[in-house]
Amino acid sequence: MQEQTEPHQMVRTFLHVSAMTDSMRIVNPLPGTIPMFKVPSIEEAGGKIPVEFAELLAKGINSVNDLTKASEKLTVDLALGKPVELHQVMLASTKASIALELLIEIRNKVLEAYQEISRMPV
Amino acid sequence: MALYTSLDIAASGMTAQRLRMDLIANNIANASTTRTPEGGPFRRHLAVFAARNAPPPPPGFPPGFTAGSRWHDDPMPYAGVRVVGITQDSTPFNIVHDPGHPDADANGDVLYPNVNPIIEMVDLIESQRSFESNMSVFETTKQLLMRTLAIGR
Repeated sequence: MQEQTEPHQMVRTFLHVSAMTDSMRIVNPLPGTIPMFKVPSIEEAGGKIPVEFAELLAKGINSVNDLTKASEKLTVDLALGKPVELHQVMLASTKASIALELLIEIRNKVLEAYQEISRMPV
Repeated sequence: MALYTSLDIAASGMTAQRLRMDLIANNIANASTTRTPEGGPFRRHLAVFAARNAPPPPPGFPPGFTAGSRWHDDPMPYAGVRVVGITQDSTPFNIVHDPGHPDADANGDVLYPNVNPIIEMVDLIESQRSFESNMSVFETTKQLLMRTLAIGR
């Protein structure tokens, strides 16, 4: 594993970021101006609460966790001499590694975006 | 997950070729076996491959793997290859005149397996190349995914 960051720590980091960006949504555009990007309201989204990025990220973290666990299980099975194909073990570990890499990239992007905003002069 | 489809397909090819190599090893090892549990000399074994989304084999299909055995344990309906069964080569046995052999018949002829080691070796090379091709697909896909992730950097 490339980075010693536990998934739950990432969630915590992210949730802090999310709480801060939430407060920015309250800002309404001035009357007569066109908002740069539009966040659909609950009514516009057909009564459905739009999917939160935090939720998506948590799902992503869970799937990374599942893949890592599957990879670990196969490795242990192979070591115990159970009928596991070597390439299946490598497949599982490759999947886990790519998923973790993706998650780290997303985390980096989120943190970068947050830092960019926090440096913005008010 | 669609992200890993080609990795899964390549792995299914590798699994199939590994089984085929097992069968070839068994054929070569038993190239002069004259006694089997079913009686008579050893018959050459062949793997039958099917596309992963092909319908399941009919009920009376020759001995093979049932659902839940190790070749079937990853459910992947969309693509890839799988081994649907192992059949026996029905070509006639080799007859060798060897009256001293305990399995010789009244004429002194012994039935030897219908395994030709040369064909087995050629099959082995083909299987090896096929495994390597699947490995190349796997490697390329992995590299592309990793390089795609590097776009964000």
